[in-house]
Amino acid sequence: MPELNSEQLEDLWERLADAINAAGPDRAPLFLSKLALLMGRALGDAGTIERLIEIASADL
Amino acid sequence: MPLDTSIYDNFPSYPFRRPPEMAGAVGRHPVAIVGAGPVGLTLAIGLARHGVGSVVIEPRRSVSFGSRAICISRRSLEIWDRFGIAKAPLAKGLAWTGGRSFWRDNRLVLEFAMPHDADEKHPPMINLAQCSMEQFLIDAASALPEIDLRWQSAVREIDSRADGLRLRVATPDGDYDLMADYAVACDGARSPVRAALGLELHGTSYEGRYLIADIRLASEYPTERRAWFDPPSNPGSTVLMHRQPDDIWRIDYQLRDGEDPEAEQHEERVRARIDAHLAMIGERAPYELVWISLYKAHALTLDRYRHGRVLFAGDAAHLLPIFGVRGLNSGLDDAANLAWKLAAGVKGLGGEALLDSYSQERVFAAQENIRQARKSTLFMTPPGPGHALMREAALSLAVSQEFARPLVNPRQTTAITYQDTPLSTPDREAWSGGPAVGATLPNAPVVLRRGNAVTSGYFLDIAGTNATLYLFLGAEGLDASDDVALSRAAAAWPLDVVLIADGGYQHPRFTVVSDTNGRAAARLAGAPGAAYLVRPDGHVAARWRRFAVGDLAPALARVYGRPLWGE
Repeated sequence: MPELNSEQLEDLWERLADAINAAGPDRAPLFLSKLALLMGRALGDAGTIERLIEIASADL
Repeated sequence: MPLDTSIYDNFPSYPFRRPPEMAGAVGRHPVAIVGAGPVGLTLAIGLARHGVGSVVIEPRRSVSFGSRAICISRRSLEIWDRFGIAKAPLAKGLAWTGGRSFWRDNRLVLEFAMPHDADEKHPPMINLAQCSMEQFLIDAASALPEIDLRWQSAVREIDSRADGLRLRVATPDGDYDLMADYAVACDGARSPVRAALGLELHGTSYEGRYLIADIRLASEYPTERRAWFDPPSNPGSTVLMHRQPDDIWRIDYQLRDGEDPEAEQHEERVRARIDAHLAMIGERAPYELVWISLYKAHALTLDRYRHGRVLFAGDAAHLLPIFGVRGLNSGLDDAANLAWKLAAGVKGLGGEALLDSYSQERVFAAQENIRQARKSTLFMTPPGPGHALMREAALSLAVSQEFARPLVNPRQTTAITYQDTPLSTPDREAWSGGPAVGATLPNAPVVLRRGNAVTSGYFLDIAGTNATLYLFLGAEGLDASDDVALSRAAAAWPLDVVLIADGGYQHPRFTVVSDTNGRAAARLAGAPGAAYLVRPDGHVAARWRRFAVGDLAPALARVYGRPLWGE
């Protein structure tokens, strides 16, 4: 699977920041949850999704 | 905010001296530099190295107050080294190579190292208070007969005429007129010259505020950049810490939304924040608060840095965010770019296009610096809740995930590679390594031979005030007809020729680099027959894998922005 280079990662970071700002504080969790579902579906690999959920759950 | 006593008061004060103009003399100066800060003084010293005199006009009577800019990059040290003034700042400054960032309860999220290896002469960064560096520059400038430093003098008006400039200067003894061919505004963020010409900076100003405090604290902690995001001692804030010489520590902390900047500058408020921070990191010695300042990030630039005979440099030309330390360092880079071009203009060596290229190249550099600094600023002062949340996400991931750490990296300043500049000659061959056209020449330890004299030194030590051709030779040495042609070129044009060879090769006129360990060849991807043409500011103007003597004249003509004289 191709990975983002650091410049693309920076762009993604900023794009998400802008999208969260646009969603507004009340709707940001909803926006992020929908995005996670969409990205998981596009990823299409249940094992990878489970591993990513574990990583994201750490250090909260 | 000045406190009761400060080490930053202990600098000499310079008197006003009546200039020749006030005794009726109508002299004309080739260059008037407005402002004796680090940029103005570096430019004056650079011009003097080229044999060009300048008058420096400064309203203050001493160095500027407070530690202000404290990080000097390797590129800046190389600029000062080239102008012969790096020794004192290097001796006093504290060298460092990296740092660490922490999140919440001291969880390490980043350890970064700036590029550094045994080939380098200078560290990637040194810490030194701006007032100390200004004093070193004043001392160096005062020893040069080319520089006329005028304290307690303020430029009130600039009148541009076809044949030159008239500057109206206000002094404690009244006003006088000063005539100059060129003026360079190095008069800082609030540049009176910029205002006098009706020019404005354009770009972005950020809302987040940082409070900057210097304390005197005895601590054995090494010199590195430390950052704490959302630490228990200052929840919701970001704290940065840098070591300076003389037991001074710089502590910057972000003011939280809703905190009143005025109230937060009061000494007891600052002390409370610093007390909590020092307790958290285990520093228990008593400390003295020596300087407090408030900081807000800007990313602003003039559209052009040349307006006829008036040029702009440093903060007068552009304001960059503090994060990544591009402010002072880009100003010194302005001075390096301008010194040789202005000297060439004054001496009639350079064309008008050469002065225009100063603006073109340094506006490009400012835009590059703004692009990098913007990313750091979004992270250090998140402008919205989305940026704050994404910062939290990056920090949380960086605890365990390597991929997220570049997002946390402070992106310290690096040397600029000029692109699309008329001074460059594009590559005609494919290269796999070495500095690209527009990049700065790398350093390497080498042995230098000038005639019979052999010295150990660094590759960049060879550079003088001319453009330099570095030519890699094979075992057979320099071809006799090339020798004649290059000797003629070096005699007729502002050009030095340096031969890179292995073993004991000598040349009666040209400096020879004995590249016995092969470091110069490795860093320049150089093989016999290859050559680099390097500008007086250290940027590569042209390079050839198979150099022919006929390549030189057109490339050198581009460097100086004019057809070559004597052709």
